[in-house]
Amino acid sequence: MRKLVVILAFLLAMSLVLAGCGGPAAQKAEAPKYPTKAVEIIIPWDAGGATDVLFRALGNVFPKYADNQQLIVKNVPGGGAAIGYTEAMKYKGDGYGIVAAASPMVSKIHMSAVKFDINTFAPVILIADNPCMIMVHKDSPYKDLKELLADAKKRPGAVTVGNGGSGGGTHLAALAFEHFVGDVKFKHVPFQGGGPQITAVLGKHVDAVMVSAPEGVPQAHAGQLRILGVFGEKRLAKFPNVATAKEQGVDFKFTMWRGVLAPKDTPPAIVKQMHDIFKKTMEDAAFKARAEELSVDLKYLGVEDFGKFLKAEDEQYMNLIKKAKLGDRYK
Amino acid sequence: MTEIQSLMQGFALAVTPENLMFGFLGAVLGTAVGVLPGLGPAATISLLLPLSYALGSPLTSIIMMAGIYYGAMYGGSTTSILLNMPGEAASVVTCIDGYQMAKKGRAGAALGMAAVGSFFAGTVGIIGLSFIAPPLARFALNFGPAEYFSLTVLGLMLAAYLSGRSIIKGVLMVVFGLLLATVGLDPISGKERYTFGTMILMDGLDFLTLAMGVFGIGEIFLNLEEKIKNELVTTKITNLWPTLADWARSKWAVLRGSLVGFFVGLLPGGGAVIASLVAYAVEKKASSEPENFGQGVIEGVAGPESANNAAASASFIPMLTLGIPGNPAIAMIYAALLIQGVQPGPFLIQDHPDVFWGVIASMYIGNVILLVLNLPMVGLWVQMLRIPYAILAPTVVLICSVGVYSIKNNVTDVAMMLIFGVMGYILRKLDFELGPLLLAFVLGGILEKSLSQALLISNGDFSVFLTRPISATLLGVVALMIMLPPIVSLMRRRLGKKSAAG
Repeated sequence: MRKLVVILAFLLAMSLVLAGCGGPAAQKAEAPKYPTKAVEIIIPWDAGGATDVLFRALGNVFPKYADNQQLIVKNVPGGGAAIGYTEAMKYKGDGYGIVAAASPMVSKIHMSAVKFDINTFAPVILIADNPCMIMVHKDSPYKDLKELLADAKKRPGAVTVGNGGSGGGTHLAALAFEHFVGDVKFKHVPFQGGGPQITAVLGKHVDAVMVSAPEGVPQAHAGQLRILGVFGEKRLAKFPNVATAKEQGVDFKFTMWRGVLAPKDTPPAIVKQMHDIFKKTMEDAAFKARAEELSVDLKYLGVEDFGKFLKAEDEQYMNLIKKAKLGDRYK
Repeated sequence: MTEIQSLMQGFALAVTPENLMFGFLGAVLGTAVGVLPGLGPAATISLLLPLSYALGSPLTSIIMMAGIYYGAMYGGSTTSILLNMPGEAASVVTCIDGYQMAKKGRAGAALGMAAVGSFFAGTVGIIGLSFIAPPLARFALNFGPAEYFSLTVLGLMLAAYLSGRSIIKGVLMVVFGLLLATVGLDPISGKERYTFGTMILMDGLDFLTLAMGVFGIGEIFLNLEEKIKNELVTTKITNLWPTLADWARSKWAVLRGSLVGFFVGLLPGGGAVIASLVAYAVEKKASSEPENFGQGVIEGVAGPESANNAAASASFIPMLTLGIPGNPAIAMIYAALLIQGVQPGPFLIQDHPDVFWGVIASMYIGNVILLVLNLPMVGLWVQMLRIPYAILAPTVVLICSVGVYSIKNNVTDVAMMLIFGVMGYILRKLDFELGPLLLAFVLGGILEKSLSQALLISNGDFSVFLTRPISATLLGVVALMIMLPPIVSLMRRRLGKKSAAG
């Protein structure tokens, strides 16, 4: 009796092995058809947040280039994005479960002891890259970055710069700016996100704020706030008169970016197809118009370049957080 | 007069069949969740948030969600009055006198006064929203960290002061709420506190999870223990129209409630819950017979019920004009606007006049619909409270669970809600009030952040709270509140001695 069971099990195992061999061989002739069902993307932040809104806008256009398959947005916020990424680690690498990437993911990796790092996922595509910028009240004495820096040098630790949260992107941007310039010291005041930051500077409760679009854009448009400098490669399309930091003699860049990551074991062929779909989606006129409305600066980087970009960001954030002694990871 | 013209255009948009229908739907849903204990407007809106993608038009979806929010303010009083259990958090204080009135056979008058007060105050709030939103928004900009701190201190004082019989128990609950609020990342250093190394606690405890746990689930545990019976005082509501004497007593209460509610609603972190608490305190102070409060005084219903409606309308002002949602329900509407690509902020009125004026016009209409829904048809909602507990209890648990799960798609939150439910049950058994706990939890975050921001900016100098006029005034009120009762009782004793001696 036992023998029979062993033989049956052996036969079953063999047939499975054969079936397993047959699969990839048969598919090799032709790239696997992808996608054949809806693709789920985890957004590790709340519904209505900037990343969520961007990916929902992508999702509206996605089916057009994905054989009419939907991009389903699943918000898994909490734990400073750690919960969402940990959840995404459970996805199989079949291309049907992916995760949104954004700068706070990298800072989280170095702030707290989390279960993932940048190598946990495979890069797919970079979609957006918004420069940080420093804004002041329209009545502020500072007209440009030089004046702000001069005053900050004169009165170390007296000029208050609001950020969107301790250890968050704009806080690190302000710290990085400080380190880059060298001999200045701001007083960093954390707020709960962009809205309260803008209100604080409008009410003159802080001297300046470090933000990234769309925060403050409407107020800057109305002339209530003034942008002192943009920490990006080029001037903002909406504010052609505002010089970049580089043009003002401070060659410093700091951006808030958004992209797509897939599970590490996703076959490269699927990653490639996924990349192509997202690339076409972000080039679609309807999506571009929506991005413009949302003040999102689109920037494309392919699989390899995005990977390199991620590594550089990882290093930058690690150094910053270690130096500023923030968070719990590097005590 | 451009406002009037814009408002007329808003009405033209609000009366299209689709917008009218969704406005009506929102009002009905709002009243229903207001009546049903354990499920509030914030949870309902969060459940319906995905629908806003499907609706397509930002105006239509916001009209419906706004309807749910202010509709719940109407419905909440019904449960408070008839069941002595808040149908909605903003009706907590209505229980005190409303239920006593119902016990004395005056449920109809209480319900009628709540509905009329709500209508009046709601309309006052919307008029305020239509005409004084921009200047008030500019004033709100004067609120910096120091002002927020002093304001939250005042809020906490009120929470402890209003907690009912025992001030010590109230203070204990406030402290406990503040402690719960410290869970999560330190706002200044970004270090973890009380997270026990778990990710789920990193963002702190969730307000909705806590609220649904202690109020929704806790309430059900408590009721399960007692013999299952509906504590409905009466199912036949007669004499919905309050008496002439009631009107005379309540007219000022309604007016005061409207004004108090409107201003508290404007304050970030304010909103309907605090507004109703403040209004109750104001009525107690203004009354010539404060000792009768708690025994079924109609002002104790009229004031807070007016205030929560005025606050609900007013809380749209900072959200729409500053982009700052002041309470959880308004935060959901804020998220819905963003999903639709409408950025709330100083330029919303300019960039999306159709949304701004359309929603406001729909609120005028919605209040009329709600008055009809809640006065002649109040019997219908009362029927809802007659649903056997064996059906209602599991339904509430189910809806709460789905609601909590839907916020973060995380099952741990549901488990946490159940734990809070047990906690709420135990606290209630020990005769603790849960309102101050929840309020302190919400205010705790603001308190800590504003304190550290203010001190960062002032270089650790505490005098900043006294040198800024708004902040100093608020703290002055706090000091008065602490000092007045002992002084008054001392003076009374002296006067008593004198008269005894004389």
